[in-house]
Amino acid sequence: MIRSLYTAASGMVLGLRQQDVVADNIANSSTVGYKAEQSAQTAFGGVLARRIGPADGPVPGRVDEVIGQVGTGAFVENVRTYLGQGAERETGAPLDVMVRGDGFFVAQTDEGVRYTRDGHLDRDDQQRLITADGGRILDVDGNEIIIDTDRVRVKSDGTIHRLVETETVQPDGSTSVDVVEEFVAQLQVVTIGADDLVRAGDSKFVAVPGAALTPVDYAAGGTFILQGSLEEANVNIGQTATRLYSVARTYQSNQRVFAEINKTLESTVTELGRV
Amino acid sequence: MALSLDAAVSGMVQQQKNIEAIANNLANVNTTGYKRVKIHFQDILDSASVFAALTTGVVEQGEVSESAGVSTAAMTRDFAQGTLQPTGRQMDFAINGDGFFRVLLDDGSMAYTRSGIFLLDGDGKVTTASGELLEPPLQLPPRFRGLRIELDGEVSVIRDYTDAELADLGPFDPRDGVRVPVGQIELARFANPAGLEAIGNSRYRETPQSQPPITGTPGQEGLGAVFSGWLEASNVDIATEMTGLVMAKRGYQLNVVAFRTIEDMLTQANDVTV
Repeated sequence: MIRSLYTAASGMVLGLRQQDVVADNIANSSTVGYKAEQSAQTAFGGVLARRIGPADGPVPGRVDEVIGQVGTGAFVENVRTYLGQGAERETGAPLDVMVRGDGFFVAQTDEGVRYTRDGHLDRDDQQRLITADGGRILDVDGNEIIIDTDRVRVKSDGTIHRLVETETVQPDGSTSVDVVEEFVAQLQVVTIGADDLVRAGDSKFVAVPGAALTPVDYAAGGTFILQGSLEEANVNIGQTATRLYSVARTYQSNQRVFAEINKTLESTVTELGRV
Repeated sequence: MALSLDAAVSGMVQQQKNIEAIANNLANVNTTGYKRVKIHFQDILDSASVFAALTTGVVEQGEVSESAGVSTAAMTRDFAQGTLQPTGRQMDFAINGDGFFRVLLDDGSMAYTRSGIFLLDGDGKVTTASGELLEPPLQLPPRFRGLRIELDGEVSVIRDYTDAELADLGPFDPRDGVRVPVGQIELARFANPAGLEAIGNSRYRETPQSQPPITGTPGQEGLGAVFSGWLEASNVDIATEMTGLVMAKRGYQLNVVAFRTIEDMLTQANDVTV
């Protein structure tokens, strides 16, 4: 009896915990490069239900046999990150880049190396390429990227080129402008398994020690870098809103069950006790 | 659980900021030389244990880590070129390029603007609409017949012939006046204009992020030419802003719904004995 009270309570605790995750996804539904959270719940180890009583049949005695298992509730075991592709939003800004396919940009922050899908880049006072909150973006060799102009072209393999314009005067007196691409650096983009990533805030992730970091192989296809676009959060609004309500209703059911059990227990205590 | 309420509230606050930025862009859709502001969100980290693990550098696989809402990482200005609109007024200048006009503030410091509506003060000096002097100073003579501004910023006035000059003219010479150079408009550009600080009245101030200005005559590398008789419209695109507004409004609503739903659950938790 008391056990069922705890089982119902565990359902309520679970509901609130699941709602943490849902609220988070909703709050970040317009955060560039945000990857949705998913909570995975699991059942507490059950207990064996036994039938104990006088044995039927000719031989007097008692039975004590296992008739099945009784669950004792559920809890959120872990919160996983869903790494699915977010929608593409075109911004037209030369320093906005997004990864289409697998892969993370690598940024050096004051706390260490971080991985991010947020490609809203900027330049700081030392002309370094940085994330919106100041993390230095690294190139394939792990160096900071220095660019002195916004006139850049980022190719699909993550190479950054400065556009250098040179004016030449033609024999007939008119001027023509030649644009030459000058290689600056190649963005470092690595793939990491979802299990090896831990959220580090600021739209960034940190890799667990010993995680396998694989540089993206553009030749294999599937992954490329887009300039002038940003990746929207991969939060499915409809699904998330549905989950918000379904969790709330499940919670309500658990609360009803809890209240009913509580009432039954009350009768047990007050009425059975009255002789 | 209070955590999820916090997340929903942070969502509302940030969407509110987003709406403010969009409203400001829309309010300035007709402001000469206005540059739209973009807002950029990032998630914030919750779990204190994960944070501790991060700072000590020890992170374990499968560790529960989740965000606790959303925050604004940056509000940046988009310095993309606005379209040029003809006004026919000679003292309206538009820059077609990355340059800024330099203006001298009352406190002696320098500010930079893309708003090219210029006026003359009592001494014939060229000032902005809000009264700051153009730098380097440009003074026009008290009387002139016409004004000419070249694409490279050279300013000259056309004055009448003096009687002596008239006497020297042959019978078939044109009599439309003498061109006298009076000054030169200079422009400044920045390696990183997104780092400029807006100080109101369409003016910006240099910061360490923007790098010091690179000055030169219009038409020099990247500065852009000066078009007299034209003004640069704001680079606000109404369709983009309206889409952003609708998205922000829906985002806000969704956060309100999340807040209410979770709040209901917490109320029920208080009512378990009923």
